[in-house]
Amino acid sequence: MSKRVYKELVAASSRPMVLSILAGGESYGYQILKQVKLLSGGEVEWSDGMLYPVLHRLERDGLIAGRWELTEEGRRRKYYRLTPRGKSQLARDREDWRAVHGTLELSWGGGNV
Amino acid sequence: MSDLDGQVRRWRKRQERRSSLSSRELDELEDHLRARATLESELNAELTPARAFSIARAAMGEGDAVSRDFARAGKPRWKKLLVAGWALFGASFLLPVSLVPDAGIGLSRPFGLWPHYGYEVFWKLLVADGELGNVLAALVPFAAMVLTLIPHRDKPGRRRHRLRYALSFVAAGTVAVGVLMPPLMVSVAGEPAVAQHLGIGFWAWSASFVCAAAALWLRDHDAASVRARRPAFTRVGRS
Repeated sequence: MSKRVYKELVAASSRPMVLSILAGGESYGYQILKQVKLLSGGEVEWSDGMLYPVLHRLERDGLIAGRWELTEEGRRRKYYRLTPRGKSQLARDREDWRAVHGTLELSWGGGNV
Repeated sequence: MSDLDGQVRRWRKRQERRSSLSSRELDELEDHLRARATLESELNAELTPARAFSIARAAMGEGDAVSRDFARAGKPRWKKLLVAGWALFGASFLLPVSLVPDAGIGLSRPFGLWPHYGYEVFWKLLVADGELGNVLAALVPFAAMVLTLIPHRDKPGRRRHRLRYALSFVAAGTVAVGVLMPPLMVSVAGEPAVAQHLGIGFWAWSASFVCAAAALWLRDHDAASVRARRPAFTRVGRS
């Protein structure tokens, strides 16, 4: 695939993407960005400035929770983890995205494209 | 101080001046920028640390744009509470602090009763009485509220805690006065004595300190979690 995923789709998928990554364990901003890039093979690219507002919105909505730690260099780093509410939201998001994906697959498989 | 530290320091100062990002948010962005700069240095060994940081900073975007994105994501709860505290504090000056049930609960002043509105009580304590105790009673809560406007720098220190405790003390004191104080009997010349209860202005004033104190507790709770605990439990690896 030569063309990258367009930004509206990237924005729409940001919540399930972050929740899915955090379902695998606690993580912090930069690591989440790297994981998105790795998982998508570079097709889904988030700008550095985009991630943190998303994280803060999810935290405000109670879907993820943050805590601060000190790195070995003495820097403060904020780690995020999934909350029980976030797990429920992720389950709902997964159903929605599967429904969209399934519909598209069927329509393409039926020779409509 | 290394080139990178100098760049980071300048970047933070610029953000503090030009953006509305809190120091918590700047901590998080700084961590990100340093990690990105480290990666850039690893990818290109010829880059100086300062140049690597510039690349990371450019990828992050300018402070104003990042601020707007953060603002859209919503502000922490403590800021809303502090704004609510200030709104109540301001409103309390314009509302009646005394209530005479027989004379109506509305904003109309019971005949001959003074002081009645919040600003009148403040003025009476400050100027009309002129006694040191009363002046302090007017100024200390006012000063405590004003101090909440000073930017939060997240430096561990007693001053910040003193303000939090002072506001909590004022909040608890005013609520206690409101709950425990019996109604005052007020005599107005030519009129029968009336029972004067505390009015909505007093409760707004009292609630403003409760909100402000709660905001500072929430804010400091967030800051407290970043302080070093025992290193064996807090150190984590590099990105």
